[in-house]
Amino acid sequence: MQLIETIEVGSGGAASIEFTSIPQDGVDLVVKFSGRSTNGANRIACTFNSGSFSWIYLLGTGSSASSNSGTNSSYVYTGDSDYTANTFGNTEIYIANYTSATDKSISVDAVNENNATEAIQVIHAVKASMSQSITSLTLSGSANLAQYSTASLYKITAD
Amino acid sequence: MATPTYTLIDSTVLGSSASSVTFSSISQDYRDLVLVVELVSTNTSFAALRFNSDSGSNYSNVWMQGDGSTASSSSQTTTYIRGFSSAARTNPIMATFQIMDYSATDKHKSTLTRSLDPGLSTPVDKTVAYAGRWASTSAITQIDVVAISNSYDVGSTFYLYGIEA
Repeated sequence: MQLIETIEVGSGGAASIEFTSIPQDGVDLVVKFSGRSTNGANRIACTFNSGSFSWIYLLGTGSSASSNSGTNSSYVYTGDSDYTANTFGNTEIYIANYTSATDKSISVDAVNENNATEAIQVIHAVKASMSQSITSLTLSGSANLAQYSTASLYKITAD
Repeated sequence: MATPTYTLIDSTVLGSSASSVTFSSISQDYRDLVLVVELVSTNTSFAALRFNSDSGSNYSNVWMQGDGSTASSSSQTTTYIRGFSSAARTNPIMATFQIMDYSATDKHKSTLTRSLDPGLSTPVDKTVAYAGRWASTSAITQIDVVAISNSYDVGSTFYLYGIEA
């Protein structure tokens, strides 16, 4: 697994984190994201250069488990701005065969915790309907990402 | 903590349908193994693992799953490590198997699996997390990815990685 790039949000926040010109010599992609939003949202979008999304999640809160489905790109978890200061959410996104010309299978593991008052552990199965290779990837929300939000993009190669 | 590496040990991309894919003579040089399977299936099949050709009832599985409306959990002791079960579909589906301490000779082998499971008898999509155990202290030298019924179709991919300690 080779690091392609790490992007950290600077002072004042940022509307998005974008990876462009993704190398096409890998097999799979992995994104490791640590983030906090500047509004009440605890989920943000992960989009590619093309594609529409559908997903199913399984979510545990420490006291109950639930499942839901959706057809949007909001499957990345952040710390909510209402959370205790310095609390960030963490998400790992695994994208198989990202250079293929068929739909992409995506596995997402995420956690969110707010000083013992709220906790989420969630797994998503995501399908990106697209017929192109993934050449760019954007993480963005309805508000800015807070300073120190960080995303690292890795490729897994067949070397 | 250092980033764990994914070193490709072997891979298979099916050019014709097959009922199983075998990785043999697996290097014992790594701490863990990760197997990434992306399955294309136009018929009903499983992605299941067997180790060292053991087809006995030596595999324990426990899993939790969500189908978009209901969360549930179950368990099974059977003749394989469970992955997804696939009804006919055109979309590729993925499972990632983590096989811990595969070369150890003093412990049973534990596995963690994540998959999008389209369901078998009724094609209801699910997201599933499995935990598995192979009741053997033998080092894993061979992995068979078995379709159980029917076969894997052309274009299915199987990548086996070694994770260094």
